[in-house]
Amino acid sequence: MSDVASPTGLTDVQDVSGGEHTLIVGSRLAMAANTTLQLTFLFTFLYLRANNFGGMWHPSGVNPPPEVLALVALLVPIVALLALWAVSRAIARGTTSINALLWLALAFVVFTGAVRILLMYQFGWDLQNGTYIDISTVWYGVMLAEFIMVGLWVLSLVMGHVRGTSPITAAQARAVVEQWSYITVVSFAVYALIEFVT
Amino acid sequence: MRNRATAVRVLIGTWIVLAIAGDIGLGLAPMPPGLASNLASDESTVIRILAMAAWPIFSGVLAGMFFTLIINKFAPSQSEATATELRGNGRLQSIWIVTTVVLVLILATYGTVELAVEEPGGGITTVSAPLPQPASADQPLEVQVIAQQWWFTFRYPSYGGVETANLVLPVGQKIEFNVTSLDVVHSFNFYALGVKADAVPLNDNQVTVTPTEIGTYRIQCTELCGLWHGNMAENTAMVVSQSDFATWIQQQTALDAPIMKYLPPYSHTYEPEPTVYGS
Amino acid sequence: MDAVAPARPPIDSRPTLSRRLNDWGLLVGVIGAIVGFVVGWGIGSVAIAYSFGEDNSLGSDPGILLGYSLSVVGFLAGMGFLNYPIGRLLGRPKASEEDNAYLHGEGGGIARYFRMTTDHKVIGLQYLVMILAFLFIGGLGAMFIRAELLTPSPTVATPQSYLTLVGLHSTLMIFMASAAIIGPFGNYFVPIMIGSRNMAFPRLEALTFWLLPPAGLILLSTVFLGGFSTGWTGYAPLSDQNVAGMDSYLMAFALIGLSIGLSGLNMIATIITKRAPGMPLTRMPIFVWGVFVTSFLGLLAAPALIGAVLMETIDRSFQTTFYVPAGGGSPFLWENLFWFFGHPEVYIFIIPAFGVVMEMLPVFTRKPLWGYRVSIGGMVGVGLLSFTVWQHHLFVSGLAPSLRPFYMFSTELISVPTGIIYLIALGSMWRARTRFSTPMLFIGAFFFNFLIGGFTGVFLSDVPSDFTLHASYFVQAHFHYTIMGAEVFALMAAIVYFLPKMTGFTMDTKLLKFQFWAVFLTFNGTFISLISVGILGMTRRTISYAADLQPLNVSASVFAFGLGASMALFLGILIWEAVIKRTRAVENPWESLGVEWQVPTPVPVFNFDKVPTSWSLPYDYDTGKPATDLGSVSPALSGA
Repeated sequence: MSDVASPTGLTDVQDVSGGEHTLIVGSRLAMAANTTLQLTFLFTFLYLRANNFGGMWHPSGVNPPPEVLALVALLVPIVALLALWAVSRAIARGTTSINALLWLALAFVVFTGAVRILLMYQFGWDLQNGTYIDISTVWYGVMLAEFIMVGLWVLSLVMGHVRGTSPITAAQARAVVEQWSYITVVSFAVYALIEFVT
Repeated sequence: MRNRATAVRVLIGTWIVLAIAGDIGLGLAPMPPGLASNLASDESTVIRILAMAAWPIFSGVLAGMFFTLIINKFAPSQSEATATELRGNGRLQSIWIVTTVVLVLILATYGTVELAVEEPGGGITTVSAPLPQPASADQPLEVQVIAQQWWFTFRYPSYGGVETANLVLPVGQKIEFNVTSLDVVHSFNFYALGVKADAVPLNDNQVTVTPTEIGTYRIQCTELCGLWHGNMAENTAMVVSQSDFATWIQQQTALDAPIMKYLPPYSHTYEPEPTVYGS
Repeated sequence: MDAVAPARPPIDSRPTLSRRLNDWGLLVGVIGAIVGFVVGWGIGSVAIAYSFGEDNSLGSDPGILLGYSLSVVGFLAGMGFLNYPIGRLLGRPKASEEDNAYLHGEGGGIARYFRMTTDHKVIGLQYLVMILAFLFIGGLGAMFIRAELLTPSPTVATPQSYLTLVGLHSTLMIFMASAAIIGPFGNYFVPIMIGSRNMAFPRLEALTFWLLPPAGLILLSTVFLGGFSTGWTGYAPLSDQNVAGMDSYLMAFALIGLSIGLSGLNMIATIITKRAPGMPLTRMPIFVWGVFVTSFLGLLAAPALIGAVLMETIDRSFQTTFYVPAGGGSPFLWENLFWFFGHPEVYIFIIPAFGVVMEMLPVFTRKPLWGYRVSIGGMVGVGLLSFTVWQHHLFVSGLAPSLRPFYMFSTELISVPTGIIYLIALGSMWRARTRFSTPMLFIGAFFFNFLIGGFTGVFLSDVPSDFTLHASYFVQAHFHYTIMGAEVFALMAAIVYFLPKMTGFTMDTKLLKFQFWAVFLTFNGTFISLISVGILGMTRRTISYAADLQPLNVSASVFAFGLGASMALFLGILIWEAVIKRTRAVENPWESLGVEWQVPTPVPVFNFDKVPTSWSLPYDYDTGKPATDLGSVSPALSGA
């Protein structure tokens, strides 16, 4: 009956009940929503900084986050990203024996979370000492939460693959790589703002 | 077909009568907020013009819509309808969109011009204390409105920063309200003068107005500010003659003299009271 | 019916433990919520007592917020939402076909309405019931408010209880309105209208619904924590001052924001990826377009609210100073972020109403929808502009006066795309032999009320007139005309119109026509009175007002009681006809050509046995051809 072209490329009941395409679209929509959230914090940051109400944006004696640790917190997710990207490439080529690579990616994902928790622990800020500290803490906290959420996604993919219950598909790998690169890029921007635009 | 043409003519005729009668009514009726100041009469003019512009469109759309619904109950079969009547008519759509855009442009231009004519408000200027008394009616007399939970106080920086509980203004004198708050967001509303300005802590919200009618008026807070927001309307406001004002301000200065040294020096904003967190 | 039976194993008759728990999902969820609240509250309070040594740590904000958060988690865990993600984290096998079918409610009977179910039709009905419950509670609040305002000074309420009442009424109604049409009808009909067997993310869809009842209950629980006095706008720093009742508002609003955003994501993904063959974006039913545009607004605006609420929560709990002027924060920050969400939010109310009204209009005018493409343009235009107008709420705030002309212009520009909707209506009604069935009466009232709502909006968009009208009852009447007069009237039209499809019962009786006239007249009586008091300078949210405004207030109150009674009558008719008397509806009572009326009633669990094919827009009332080929299912209207 279907000689009419399908705009979505789905012509079969099985495909309609759940498609890989759906996952990628959903993941990108989540990025769009996340962008609004990030812009909310960016607006807050710039607004409070530009107005410096009562001189309480950045009272003297407030230091930016420890630079080296913050840099490490940026580099670790890049390594994780490279590993995830390699996973995605391998799956796209049809390789399935990628367990070592998966464990490596997972290790760096976990390491990302750990180093960012350590970083927030190292702030040592008094939250009542100016709005720079407030927005930086909240923003780093939100980024940490996002890394943890995508990290849990990676964990579920890895567990499903290594236990053989649901091998990672190309679409899943691509979606998770996109999501991880997105928040890594955002975390770079956040770092640059908080470290240099004090 | 002839019946339909007649019906459409009746519709258009009815609409023209409605539109003209309504606009005459709107043109003559008193419009809020009245004429007690230059600002109020400006606002009342704008409301009148908007109402007179809106009424013909409003009545036209309604008349057209409900007339169409009803008349076609008795109309011949719909099979006479042409394709453009059925599925859309590009030209009509374009005309409609262009018309509404033009109307909006006219409205927005008119509003912008009105804004440009008015004195600019808002923003913080530095205070050169003590301010001189205005030499003429065109020089603004600065009056500060300080909102706090749940009343207003007023300061007259040109008279040594004297602070009063009731607002008294000289008629015909240009007034510059400087509205600020000591705790949460309030809004200072002097309805009869057409003044409404939010009182935000650490912000100085300026409105310039010249009262033109002597009388006693109601002022109130129009931004939800907590428990007794509804009762934040108990300060009285009066517009009095120049000489009455001079007498009154002298009395106030004498009354306030003993407590002047406890008042903070006049400033456009004051350090807010520390916020008491919920629990 | 020569439909092909789906090849799926039947549901196992020996249920597992997790399935038994899931069968009692709501009950287990409630138990989980109670346990979660006690645990979170306890941990939070102990932690506060430990770190600050406060005496009254049981009433502390962090304790209560942690209690609320864990109660939501406990509720969702009890409902079974965590089974799947935890299973995936442990690398358990994906859900089997059978599990999915069970979760979808296959063979679940009435119990599936009280547990986590992934069937979009069950979720649509769940939404409908919840919306009506919210509407009822919020309406009771309005009745109390009008009773109080019969006299110019406090009588039945204290100032604190009055403000809490105002806050509860407004916030509940905002919750209700943001899901009123997209919740029940979007969830129920979008997949059917686009020829899909399911939503893109069915579990997420269940989650968007089940976040709302906890949100409503958390909001209502504010009365045990002292209430909140900020209204639904929650302006800082008043919100910082408030007692713990404010936390209920913040928590509830965050949950609502989450639900709006997730629902938007799911709807967009569904509409983009799951359309039937032959249905490009320009051949979707207009209601689907309304939902599509709205979903983008929800997806892109709700995160701003969540961010703002997060900062306010931290302000209250950990003494940061985002919104506290003394500490370097600014009330303007909240006003900006809140209204950046708040203005798209009001179009989240109205665009689905546009969509559903334009969907129903051709059915009753028996003509194709006039100007389909330009009507899409109208809705997209409203959606785009809605992100550029938020500072018109702040004309008198003293914020950036130089920007006022821009916001005035962008706001007035919105009347162009909304004007298009009126052109569509006029074009569709032109030379039509309209059938004045009950939904059509509500549709007519929709256009009448929204026209008043729109024209009162022009006075508020113009800065000088806004100086007089801002924060007065004029504003209040304006948005009640758009939300109640337009959206709720569209909701009532849609309920009457779609109920035969959703339940198989009809509520279209003579009494309903009387109810329509009662609700229409009392509504206009109420809000014309309130427009008048607003013009005369009565300010919103006050328990006391100038004595000379009493006659108009009494008139508003009396009409409002009539309005409340007629709304209650609507609910009464709905319950009587559909639940108690169960008057059977005829198949396709409105003789619609839409695909949703071609599938059998009740709609099969997976909607379609074969993938349907779309041929044209479903509005060919001039030729009477249905637009969709359901394969083996014969179209109900082939000869009409």
